[in-house]
Amino acid sequence: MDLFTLKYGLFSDKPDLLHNLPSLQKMKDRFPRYIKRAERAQMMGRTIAREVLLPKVLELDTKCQKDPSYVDWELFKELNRRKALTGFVPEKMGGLGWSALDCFAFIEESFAACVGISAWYLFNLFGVACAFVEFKPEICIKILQDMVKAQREGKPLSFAWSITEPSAGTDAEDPLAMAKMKPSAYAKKVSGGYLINGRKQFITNGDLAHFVVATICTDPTRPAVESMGTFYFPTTTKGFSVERLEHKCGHKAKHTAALVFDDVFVPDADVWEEPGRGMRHTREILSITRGVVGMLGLGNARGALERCIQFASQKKVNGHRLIDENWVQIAIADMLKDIMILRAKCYDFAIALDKLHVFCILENIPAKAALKVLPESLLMSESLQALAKSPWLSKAVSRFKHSLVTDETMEYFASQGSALKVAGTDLAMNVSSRVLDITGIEGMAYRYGMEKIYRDAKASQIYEGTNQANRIDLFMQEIGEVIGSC
Amino acid sequence: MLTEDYKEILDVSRKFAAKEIGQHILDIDLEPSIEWTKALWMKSREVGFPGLVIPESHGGFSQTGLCAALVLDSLASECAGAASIFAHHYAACKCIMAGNTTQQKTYLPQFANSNAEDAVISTVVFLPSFEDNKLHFHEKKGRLVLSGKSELTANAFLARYFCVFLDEGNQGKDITCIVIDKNDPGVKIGDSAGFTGLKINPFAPVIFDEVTIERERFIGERGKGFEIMRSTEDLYHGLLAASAMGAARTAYRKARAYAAERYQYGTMIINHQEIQRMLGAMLMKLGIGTSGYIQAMAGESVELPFAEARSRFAKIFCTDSAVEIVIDAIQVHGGYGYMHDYGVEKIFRDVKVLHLLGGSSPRLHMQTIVETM
Ligand SMILES: Cc1cc2nc3c(=O)[nH]c(=O)nc-3n(C[C@H](O)[C@H](O)[C@H](O)COP(=O)(O)OP(=O)(O)OC[C@H]3O[C@@H](n4cnc5c(N)ncnc54)[C@H](O)[C@@H]3O)c2cc1C
Repeated sequence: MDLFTLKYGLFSDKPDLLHNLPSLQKMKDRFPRYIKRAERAQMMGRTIAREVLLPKVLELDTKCQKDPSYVDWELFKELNRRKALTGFVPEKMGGLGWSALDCFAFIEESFAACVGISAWYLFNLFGVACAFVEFKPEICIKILQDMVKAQREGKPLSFAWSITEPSAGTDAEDPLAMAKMKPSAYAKKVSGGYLINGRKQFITNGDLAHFVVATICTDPTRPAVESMGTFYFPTTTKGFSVERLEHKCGHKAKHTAALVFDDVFVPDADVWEEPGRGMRHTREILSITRGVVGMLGLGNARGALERCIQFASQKKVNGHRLIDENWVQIAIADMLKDIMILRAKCYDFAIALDKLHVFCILENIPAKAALKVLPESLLMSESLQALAKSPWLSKAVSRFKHSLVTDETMEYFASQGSALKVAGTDLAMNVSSRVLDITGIEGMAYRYGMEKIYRDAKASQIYEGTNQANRIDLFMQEIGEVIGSC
Repeated sequence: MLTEDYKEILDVSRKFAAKEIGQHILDIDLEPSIEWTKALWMKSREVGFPGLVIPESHGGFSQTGLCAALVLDSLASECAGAASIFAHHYAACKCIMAGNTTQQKTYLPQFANSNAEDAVISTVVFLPSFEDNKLHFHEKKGRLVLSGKSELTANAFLARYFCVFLDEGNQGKDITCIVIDKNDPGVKIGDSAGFTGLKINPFAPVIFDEVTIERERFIGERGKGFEIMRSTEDLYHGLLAASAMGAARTAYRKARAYAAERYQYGTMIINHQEIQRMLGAMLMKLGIGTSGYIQAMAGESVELPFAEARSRFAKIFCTDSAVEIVIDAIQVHGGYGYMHDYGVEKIFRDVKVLHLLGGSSPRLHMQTIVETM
């Protein structure tokens, strides 16, 4: 049985962004390019989902089950070729110049095809986000240039964002918890830099990464939150090793590694956040990525529901199709309703990112002007890197960024993102389970991919802060101040 | 409600499960093999499990459905896959016990594995959900033959005998029950459906390609097997309920223990009220679910309107609950719960299959009401 026969969802030929989000029609009047490009990003996501991801979903799940270190480099190359990883890079530098709205329109489709594969190639960007959050121009420019080069050469370039430690998961993400965290890793100040020793746990792409961004404490005598810094180093650095890859329940195409640091030296220049500011850095990234994980939940739920609709339209029960049954239609509508409502919030978040968060930087006058006047050759040159390195420029740009993305903005996004993250991932769990109640035991057969989505969904309730931690966060942001501390 | 006899059997099955299953199961789950499962069955013969519900006169132990359920509860607390093998086998035993004396004499001693050299495992095939390639009889050269496919058959690679239910009238009423030998010409086993739960018991399609059905293969009269199916289903549902509770019990135990080991926010996570709420809800579901299936299997309903203890209800409640319990048990473990080594994610995969076996909850709810109309 060929599962996908209805022209629906991932298999519909027309963009349906405006159908799903009718209020964008109003926006299209004012900003036609903004909306049209998002529609194109959606269709690009859909095409990649159908042509590149769907044929590989189960193959990768099976292969990585047998061997968690398995990587499909051909698949990676194809994604690279289609610029799935460099969409957000300015067009003039070789990317697609995507806004946050474009990114969301694209990833919704990718997640609906497979959150495991998508998390593998997209969470890579979390590492890139780490650089943009700090916005030291020399770092950002170098990373953008390197990504574009890698893309052109068809090579991988991976980043891992590592905050979780064996002893500290929630403690590494929440400021209140971090006050009491017992770290499993420390960075010690030595001449010219830091020496890092210890362990990190559950690090996505930890084994594939070329660079690691790690939050690490520097002073065992003080509360962790006061000495947490952010460090950046290549994985070729002496003393870095991957201890093991986890055998996970789902999300198999995406590797999860335990990392060991044994006297890893990080020069001062690669300390992205001074000790004491690491938590802020983490928070700012989370303020973006939690929204992305909310979207992942939405895609996960959509993937499950679309497969179920395809299945139910083909299977016959007592002389009619399963999908003709009254209870099935009501259950499907109920899930559609949740997806629709969640989607509105997801895109609201994306558009807000464009207006208020890191995405607005390139839209802002100085950056926009620079991109406009500087020739492409200079944009990709080392002299630009050198120029950006000059301390006055670096400071000025960093200050400029922090004036655009203030602490209040960041906290605001953290709570919006928390709401989205919990709503999306709970929906993913719920829908992926419920569709199997509709299909019955037959839907559990591996080939339909629905049980895989059920396995995938569970992880999303845990990472980027457990859903409990995110609820606490949301409460603190929205209500905490109102009620005051006791 | 549980007599000394039950307690003794439970003790035996707990020890058996811990020793023969618990110690190896996480490795086996990564690379399951039919040989390992068969060897487990052979060992289970030493403690008499295959013949548990079969009358002593036929080489069994004449135990009740309740006893079987309790045994499966304890097997499932180590591995729901192991329990599922016995659930299908006991259900098949129940079919044969509804047959005539000759049939009982022919099959039951084999099913009890009382003296056979090889493992003799049986299984049951209920009515399929969907219509593709439905099981049906037709005439061929004056013989009655069976054709069609049972898409997902438990014990498919283990079973020697299949007790098969067919619905000739397509109305769910004219039910026929037959017993088929794997070695009958025309019986073929397809490729595993690849369930990622209950992995030691791979489910697979069984194809019947013009299998000749002699008269002695009919259990009860042709077209009059509704009651047999109903009573088989009653036992089967009770066994699934018990298996779900057994599996969920372990998920709870692990979560409870982990919550007292793990520190976050500077305290054991069990000190967080939200963790207490989650664990409390698990324990409540385990309590009600377990007494629910025990009451149903003991046939002891409270005499109040709409207070019937039915094994179908127990199956729905226990498997719904087990799914919820395990999802939360993983959550309490945080990232560790999602990793194979901790053993909870296996239970998560297992119970979702149990949840759907014997009919998904919404379908069973509807059936309950249709029967009253
Ligand atoms: C597939 C996967 C990929 C991951 N990728 C990455 C990665 O790339 N980088 C990275 O740094 N990390 C990664 N993680 C780790 C992830 O971020 C952590 O697992 C997560 O933050 C939870 O931490 P923990 O597992 O230590 O759980 P814990 O923090 O130990 O939590 C255990 C339980 O206690 C609960 N809890 C804790 N405090 C409270 C409280 N105050 N009130 C109520 N309940 C509470 C939690 O909700 C949870 O249920 C990944 C995890 C997974 C599963």
